[in-house]
Amino acid sequence: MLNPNRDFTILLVDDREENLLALEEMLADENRVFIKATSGNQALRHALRNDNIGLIMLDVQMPEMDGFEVARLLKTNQKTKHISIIFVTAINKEEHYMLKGFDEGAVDYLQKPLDINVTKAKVKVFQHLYQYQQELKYTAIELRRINQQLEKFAFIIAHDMKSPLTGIIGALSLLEMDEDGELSAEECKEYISHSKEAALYLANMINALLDYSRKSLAEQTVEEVNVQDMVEEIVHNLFLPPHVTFKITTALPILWTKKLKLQQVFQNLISNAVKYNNKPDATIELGCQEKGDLYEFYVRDNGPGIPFQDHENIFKFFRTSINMATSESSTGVGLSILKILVEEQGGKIWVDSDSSLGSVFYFEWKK
Amino acid sequence: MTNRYNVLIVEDDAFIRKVLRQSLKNDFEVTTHINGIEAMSWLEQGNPVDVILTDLQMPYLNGQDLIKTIRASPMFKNLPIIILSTYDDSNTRIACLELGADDYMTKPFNPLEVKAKVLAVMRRSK
Repeated sequence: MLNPNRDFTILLVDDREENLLALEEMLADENRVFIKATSGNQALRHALRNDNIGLIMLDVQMPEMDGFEVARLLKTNQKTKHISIIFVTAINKEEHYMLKGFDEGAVDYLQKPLDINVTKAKVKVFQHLYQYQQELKYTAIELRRINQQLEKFAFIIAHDMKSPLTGIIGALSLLEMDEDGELSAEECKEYISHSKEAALYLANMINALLDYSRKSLAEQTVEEVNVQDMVEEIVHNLFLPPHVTFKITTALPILWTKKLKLQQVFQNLISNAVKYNNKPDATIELGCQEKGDLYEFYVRDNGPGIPFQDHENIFKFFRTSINMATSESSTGVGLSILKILVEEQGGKIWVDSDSSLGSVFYFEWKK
Repeated sequence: MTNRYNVLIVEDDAFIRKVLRQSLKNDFEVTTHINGIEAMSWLEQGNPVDVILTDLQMPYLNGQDLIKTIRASPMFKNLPIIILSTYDDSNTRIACLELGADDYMTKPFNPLEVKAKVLAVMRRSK
């Protein structure tokens, strides 16, 4: 349901086999799929069962149920009423009158005997129409999905920003209420410094969000990316401190992808591995392995590790792990944005960590 | 002042915990815990608690689960519970009250209001 169907399925309806074969031969083309029915009833069954039918070529003169009756039934059913119909008819006087009844909706007719060029051209027009419709449908679904994601995003942010504000407002209220000077100088100082910390945290949060929204708007073109070169460039620009050793342990692929996004993921994971590392000789390893239609990348560090109960939390907005929260510049926005970036591409991101040995962050990226 | 009420605060944020303690300590005996599990074990050890003031979003036993656990326990099912949460939508409020909370306050809060609510709930429960 995520990609518009490139195939164009045509249901051919005629009580005479030889006509069906002739029509199929005439219209055969790449990406066209044909379904054939030799009666009105059969045609209705196909139309109800198959969701991909884009056009019905309907012979008018058939025994039992004629083409007009079939069309009327199709138009009254919610599931089939939007399917385009081309009547194939000799157009005598009576039929001309009947055709008027189908003025509305995507209905057209072809006159027997069929002219090859006219028939092909008409079907082509309907095919284009169908494909535009499919694209529109797909776009609408995509937009709805993005909208929901945004709503959720806004809700989480608004909610999580309240936490530091609650502390600030509470502390300031206590200071304000303390008219008798009951609070010790030390306590007053503590409330003030806590409030300041919480305010700085909020400011960091806002910066991270602005950064994120700028990155979402930034160029999103697909280009060839040599991951090896990209990682080396990132590491070079991070100016790693001398106690940090960085190693690429496997061959890295060349990808056709949105470079900025992949770069952001690597950059954050590598700089986190440096930032939170508490060892005198920090080691960071980066590698990759193929997994079906995905590459699985990993960034391994020998830092403090992450407690098991935080393995999922760290990817949520404004949640940081215990050891992370002590660092000034940790706002908890980074990893949740990485999660969005990775999931947008159809992959997953997760962490595996043994507190004594450090952490390994894995993420998947489409080939 | 020997008959002061015992307030149990359950809140995972250290700073907010401190502010709450400060807001209530002049009028109540205050104990604080960082999640529902710790709060439950404090209760089960037989410590005196007259009212619980709890956050909703906490690791391990969260606020809603804490309400359920307390209301399901024969010992503590009548213990007054006040929610103090950043969620201010009516769905969450209704859900909590239906689960058995006695009152619901939102963050950011006014310390005087927290104190007044605790007193009001105590007045009703005695």
